[in-house]
Amino acid sequence: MRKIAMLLVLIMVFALAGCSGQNGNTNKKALLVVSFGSSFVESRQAAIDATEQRLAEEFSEYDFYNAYTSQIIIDIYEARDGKDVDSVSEAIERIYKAGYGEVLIVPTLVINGEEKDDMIQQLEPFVDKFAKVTVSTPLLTTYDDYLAVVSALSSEMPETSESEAVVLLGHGTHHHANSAYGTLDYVFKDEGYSNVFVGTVEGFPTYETVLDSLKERGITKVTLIPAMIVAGDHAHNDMAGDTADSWKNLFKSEGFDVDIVLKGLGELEAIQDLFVQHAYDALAQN
Amino acid sequence: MKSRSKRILIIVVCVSILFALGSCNSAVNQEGQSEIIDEFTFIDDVGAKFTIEKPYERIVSLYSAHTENLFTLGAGEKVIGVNTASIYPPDAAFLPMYDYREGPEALIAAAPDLVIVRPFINRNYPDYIKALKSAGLTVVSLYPESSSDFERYIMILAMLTGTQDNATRELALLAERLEAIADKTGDIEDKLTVFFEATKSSYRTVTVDSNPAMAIQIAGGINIADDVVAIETGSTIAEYGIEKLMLMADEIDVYISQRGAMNSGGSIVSIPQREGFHAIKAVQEMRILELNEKIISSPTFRYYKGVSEIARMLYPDVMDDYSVYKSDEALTRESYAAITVMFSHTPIFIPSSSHYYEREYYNHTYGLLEDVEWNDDNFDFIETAVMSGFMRSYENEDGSEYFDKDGLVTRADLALTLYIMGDYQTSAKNTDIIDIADCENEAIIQKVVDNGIMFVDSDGYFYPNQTVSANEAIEILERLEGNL
Repeated sequence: MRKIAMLLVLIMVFALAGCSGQNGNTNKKALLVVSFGSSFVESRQAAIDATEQRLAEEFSEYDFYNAYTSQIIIDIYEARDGKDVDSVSEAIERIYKAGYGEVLIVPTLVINGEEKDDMIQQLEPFVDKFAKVTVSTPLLTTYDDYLAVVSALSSEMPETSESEAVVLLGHGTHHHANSAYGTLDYVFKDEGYSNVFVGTVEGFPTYETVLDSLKERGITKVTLIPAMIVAGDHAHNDMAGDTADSWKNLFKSEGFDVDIVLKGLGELEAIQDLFVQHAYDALAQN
Repeated sequence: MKSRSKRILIIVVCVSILFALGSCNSAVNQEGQSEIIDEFTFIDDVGAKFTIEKPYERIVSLYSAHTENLFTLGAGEKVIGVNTASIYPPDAAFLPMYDYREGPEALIAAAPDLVIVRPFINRNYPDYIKALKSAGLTVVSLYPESSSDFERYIMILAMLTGTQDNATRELALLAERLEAIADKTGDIEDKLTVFFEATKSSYRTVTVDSNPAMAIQIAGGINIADDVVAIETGSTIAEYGIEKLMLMADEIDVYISQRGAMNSGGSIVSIPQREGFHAIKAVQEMRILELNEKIISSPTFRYYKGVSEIARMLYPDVMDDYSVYKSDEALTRESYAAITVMFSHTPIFIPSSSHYYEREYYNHTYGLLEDVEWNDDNFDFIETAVMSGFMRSYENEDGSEYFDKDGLVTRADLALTLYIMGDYQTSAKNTDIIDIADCENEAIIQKVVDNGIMFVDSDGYFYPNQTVSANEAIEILERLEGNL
């Protein structure tokens, strides 16, 4: 398993030297934290900003930079608040022009999905321009990551009786990385958390999948927790909203007791620690 | 001036400048020059003259407001295609869609006898228009710019479709509906103050002559941004800015955010999260209204719904007077839908995304109840009650949905509403309910009984299928008030 982890990191590690126009001063280091972003200011502060701060403190010898992968969110901040937020390509170009020779990039993403692919695509033109580029991995990459996430979340989840369950709601995607959600569900159960179920808003497992499982187990009460970095739009609306097709009301209309935890993964210190660990792992393997 | 005559004056003024500027996020185009010459002849908004020999029968509408107005005029059956933003009425959303940003071939192949566009398309996609005309299609360009333009615009649509009588009736009905709202709110002494967020960009609002500003006035509100200047000549958008907003924070009773494809304002969740916004009185009291741009800024007959929604948020007790439904007669599902939405002061649901019908929904899809027409009087109440989960729709064998408007409300229906509206958990009380097995959803019945919102009789029977009167339903709903 360790070998697989190393291979995955190595695939994303670019350590090229001697190229034309390259910044060679590795004593000048930059940390770039890449997140999806959120227009929900307080949710963003609690999750993304807090994770950024944790990473900035941990890697204090690096100068801090951040970027969002969502252009829509970037545009909202610019239009609404007059606040400039960099895209990945803007940030890496800014870092390059500032003369940094080493850059550590930490994506605060849950899965190795479309956002991660886009990030890598935007980084690629700059790979040759630094003496050392290190890219760490999203939250759910290796088997060890799943175990660590299960451990981190288990301390946040309410104690459940036989008839009570925790439903973790992830975003879900058409990308093949959607399989991470099913894997997380499996690992929870494999680790003894038989009453934890993982569902997604836009992928698999679906609401029906989770509902069938809950009924099969005779569950009468569910606690909904977002499996997303920020408790933003999807958590407030698709999970906890007041329309009939929010997961809260879908479960209520089936007669379940429903509790809601509106806390993004990024708010959890244990998850922030995992992103820090991922960064160290990537550096160690580069 | 006495209140009644003052209200009438407001309505006259408002209707006279209603839809003056259409969508409030753009500058007025300068083409507006339509003119009705006689019963059969008119000039459109790009100066082209048309003589109607007979009503058109195969129409493609490339502007959502045109689509909506054609259906309202009763010409929906003549519409064979629409633009991608035309998702209302729901029937329109399932027509073939054409995009002027793509090639004209598909539209030409559909062989319409009339294509209705707006000057925006003429200006920005001249090659597309040229291709349609070269293919021999009749292309009429319309967009209401001024008071007389709206009425004239509607009457030109009526000429094109042979629906003049309907147009006259609908225009009168719109004025009546607006006056009815003004009548309800006119005598309220303590008027509330409103800030209207037109777009998230720099916290912009609207000019005093815009449709939303007029709506606030008709709804009996005071627009706090009554001294703003348009960002450019002809626009209804005006700068307000965060500094001024904070300066007026403790005077804003209600915060309205315009939502939609053109104007994506903040949501009731995101607005309170903005830095400094806790200082705004409306945010502290959670009196935030998300208002779909289609019912407040778009030049359609649905404008009165936007006005009504503002009035409901400002003066819920006056506007949501469900006591009018009080009766000892058995309660129909249609009336109950109205009662639940009024009782909970739930804003009416309207999809804001033009992609709404591109995905499937659990439980219910807006506008697809086969026994509820989009122009039924209680359409919004029924849609909102089902969309909020207060009431269930039913499914036919073929998967289509229906509501059963004339069906009677049962105690089990009431229990569902109470459970969705309230916040109840399983109780240790576990009341013995003799006929619990007769209940479709035992857990919900058990919880509303255990939590003391509904009761079993002295013999322990709940009678889930027993019908209720409006008086009984209202009495039980009002038990919730302390628990909402």
